[in-house]
Amino acid sequence: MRIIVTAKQVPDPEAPQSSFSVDSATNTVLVAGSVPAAISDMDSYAAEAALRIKDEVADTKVSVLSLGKDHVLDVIKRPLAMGADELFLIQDEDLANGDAIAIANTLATAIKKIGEFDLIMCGRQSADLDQGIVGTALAAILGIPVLTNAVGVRLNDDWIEIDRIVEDGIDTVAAKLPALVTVSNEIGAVRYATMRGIMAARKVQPTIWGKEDLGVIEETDPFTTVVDLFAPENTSNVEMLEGESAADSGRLLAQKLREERLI
Amino acid sequence: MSQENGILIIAESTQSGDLKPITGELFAAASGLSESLGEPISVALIGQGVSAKAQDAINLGASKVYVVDNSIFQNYLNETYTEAVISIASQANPRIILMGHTPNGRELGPSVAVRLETGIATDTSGLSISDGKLEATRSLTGGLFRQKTGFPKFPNIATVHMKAYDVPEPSAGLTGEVIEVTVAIDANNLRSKFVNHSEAVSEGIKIEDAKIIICGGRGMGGKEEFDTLYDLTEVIAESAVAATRAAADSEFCGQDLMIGITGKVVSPEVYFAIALSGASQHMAGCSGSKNIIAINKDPEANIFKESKYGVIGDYKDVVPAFLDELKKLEG
Repeated sequence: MRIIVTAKQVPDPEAPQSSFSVDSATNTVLVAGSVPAAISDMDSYAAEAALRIKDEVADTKVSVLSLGKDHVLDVIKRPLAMGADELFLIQDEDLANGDAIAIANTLATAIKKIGEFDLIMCGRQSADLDQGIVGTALAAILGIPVLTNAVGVRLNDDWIEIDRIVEDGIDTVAAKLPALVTVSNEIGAVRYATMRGIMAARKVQPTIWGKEDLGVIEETDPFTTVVDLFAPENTSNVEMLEGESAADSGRLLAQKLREERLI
Repeated sequence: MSQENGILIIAESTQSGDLKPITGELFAAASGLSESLGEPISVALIGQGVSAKAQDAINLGASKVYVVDNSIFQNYLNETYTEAVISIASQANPRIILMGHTPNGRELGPSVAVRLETGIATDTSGLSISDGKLEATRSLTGGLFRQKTGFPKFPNIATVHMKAYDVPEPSAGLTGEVIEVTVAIDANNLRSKFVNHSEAVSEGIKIEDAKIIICGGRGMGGKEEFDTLYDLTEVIAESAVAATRAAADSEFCGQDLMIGITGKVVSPEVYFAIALSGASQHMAGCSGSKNIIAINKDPEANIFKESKYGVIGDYKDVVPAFLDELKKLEG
């Protein structure tokens, strides 16, 4: 069985908020140089979900695919250190800066080049943009069924079954392979990379492709545009309640909320 | 090829066929667009037994209701609902398609966009028209910044943030056209299937419906400590306990309590933010709250910038005294 996991490298979202700012001239987000690179966390959960299948099913190969412009090898190799088998990198600034559907098109082209697969697993949404478009769009482009926001994943022969949270509970849905699943953090803890895994990952040579390697990608008009990018106005108007002690403040709060009839 | 026209809303219905509130919210979003464009609103009603509710859609403001009513669509499935929307869109030829950014809407949107060879923006609000095209605003960088998105291709497709708009009051007895649409789909040849649905077991009030939410963060410290939040629900009427993703991932509670950019989106009257920093990924789920009350021992915590009232202090000192005082004021 072959599972392809897509992974995006992003600026570490745990970095202090002050590390991020807006460049109004270019309508882009500026990230301080001190912010380390990280794998978008939902993609780590996707890798974990793939590796759990690999744990159960003999002869499973997990191939990781990442589109970016400045991959940090130690970071993007993390899924390998966790137990994935091979790594494909598409490195091109224009392609990486594309709108979500354009990115899905690029990934689809790369996947056709990678070859046969049974399952594609993606994070449900990226840590920097949170759009949740690429995985679903990729499935539509490849013409395979898609199941999203999996909180539980089970393989039943040549069907993949997932649980997904809906407004009033959980839906269980399934798709015949080949299919695409997007994965959410509720599947549970991502495994640590072992020392052995890290050493093994160091030796793996990623396959690196540029725009030309992928063949002609049709330049079309953008699917969406950025009209404006800004930090929302902070209209902070907090009333701090300060007593002689924390407990006293708590009492003041109770009185205030009662006064205002909020509770 | 005639010009695109109008706004098509993809409705969502409950099992019994009633329109879900998100559908009303989409009407609220669409009505401003409809006025700016001078173009009508139509609705796609997909499911089983939904034809009976076409008038409800008309009463919300739909000039046309496209109905796909068949047992194949009894439960949402991306594979079948995408085909239904494509069939409807090819008849309606809308300028704009709106869906809710719900578990199903957010999945349906990109599939439809790819099939219609157009772009999509998700989890949007602040919808407006500029030069005959949709503009919509969404958050990025974990909720820190906002982006106004433009749509060069038609139809313009957007999923709309839940509770970004208020459900409008329906009118009564409006008139509209109901159009039944047949979808060419072979039920025996699907590559996906709906297996089953299990109801959430919620003790007490559902978080999304609670008037008051008591949310604990990673600073609660542990599962036992987190559980003390339930003491507050015994004294504060109409309240429910919730959690940040950090608290849920640390297994202080179940994942179903999670509020945030990947969890539930709520807009209660009062939101207690206890021992949570107020990181933007969390605020994305609760910024619609009318009154945020923050209790945190870190004076620099971001949550204080977002709240109406704040107390700096260890919750272990603040909350018991707060509770006792409430009980006193009661009696």
